[in-house]
Amino acid sequence: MKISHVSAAAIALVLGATVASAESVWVKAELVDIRSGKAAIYPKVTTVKKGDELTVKSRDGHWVEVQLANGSSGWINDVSLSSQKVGADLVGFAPGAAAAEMSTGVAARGLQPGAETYASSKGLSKAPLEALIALRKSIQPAEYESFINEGHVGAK
Amino acid sequence: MNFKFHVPLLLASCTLLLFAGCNNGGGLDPNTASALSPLIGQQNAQFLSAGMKGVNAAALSTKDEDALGQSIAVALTNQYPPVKNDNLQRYVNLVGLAVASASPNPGGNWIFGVLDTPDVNAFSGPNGYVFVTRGAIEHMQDEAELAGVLAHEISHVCSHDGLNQIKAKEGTAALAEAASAADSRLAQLSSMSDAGYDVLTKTGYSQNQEFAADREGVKIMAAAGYNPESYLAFLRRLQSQQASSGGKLMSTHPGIGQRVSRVSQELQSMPHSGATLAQRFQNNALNLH
Repeated sequence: MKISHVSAAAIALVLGATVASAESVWVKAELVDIRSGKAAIYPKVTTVKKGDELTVKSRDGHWVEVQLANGSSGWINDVSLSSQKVGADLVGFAPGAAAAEMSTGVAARGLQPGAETYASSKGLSKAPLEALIALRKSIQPAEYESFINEGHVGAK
Repeated sequence: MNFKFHVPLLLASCTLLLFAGCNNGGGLDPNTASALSPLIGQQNAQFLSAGMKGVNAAALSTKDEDALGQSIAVALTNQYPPVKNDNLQRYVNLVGLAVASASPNPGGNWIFGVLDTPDVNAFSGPNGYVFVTRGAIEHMQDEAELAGVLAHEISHVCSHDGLNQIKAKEGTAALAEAASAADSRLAQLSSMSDAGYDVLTKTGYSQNQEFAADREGVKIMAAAGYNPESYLAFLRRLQSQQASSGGKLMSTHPGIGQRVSRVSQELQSMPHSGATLAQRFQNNALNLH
């Protein structure tokens, strides 16, 4: 039993050390998409908001792989992160808007309600812009990677 | 070539121009709003100068900004329909994404498009909507020139000039009021879109904002692996054609000569190397119609 207690304590110490060594970063931009890869072309995994704390899994240049609360992970550029704790905005313009956006809005990249209303009120067709958005969304990461590799362009 | 050299808009690249004249850190003061009123309408000018009590820019969420960008893009693509050439649109998106990967917002929601007009121009709206005209592409000779123009626009988008100016001026006093007025909010977003679109298509950024976008743009394109000399070559080509066209510049915009001079100076401290990809540009940007 004594040995077991020692082992348990040792395990706890190791676990504690592991937890303590996990690097945290905080989102400093208002809303930022976490993506499945290290470029805008990759699908959005989720959206995080200012003040959210994220756990760093790895880094590659300016891109940071972060652990999400649901166990998945994704990539975010360090331009949107702070190594210091960032407070969330105290007052939001449209309470609930950010949450709604995170669950539905920008992921689909259709027109936002405000833009829909604007187009309708002005008698403007939203089809041309929607077609451009659809075309952009149809570009797959593999096509983008092939394009930048062939031309030796894109951020290194 | 049916070349309409649209000097006032020449690469004026008007990100949401609630922001015109906002480069001095002072926000949109009543004098500026007054000056803008002939361009954006008295009502919009009053809206901007009245402190924007409804839609306070400090309160604009990313969603609001996206709606604003989309609204302006809807209006723009109604005036200038996108070129009906998916291969070209795809190509410009790939170049834009490559450039954006080296921008301050590499993971942003970037949407690129080519507008079917012979005018030589480029536009950018809030939250990543970037457009270049067929006329501009027809005056380019390689992919790096296209990358340079897109980088200039991307720089404008990343700067959030006007939003930041208005945020600084307005503070947070009106947030609660704005949050409780959802209908008013939509109406005001619409009004802001009108104002932004009107200014975008009739005037441009301030000289300093254009200079800054040129300066940052060449850095972005170079960081993306493109030769920044190509952007200078494009500007010089436009400069020479402007002279033969007898075009005049709006007083609020920088002369193309000044921009050439400043970009040339900027490049002196940068490596003169990088991809130009003339052949790939020719293969993908021909047959625009």
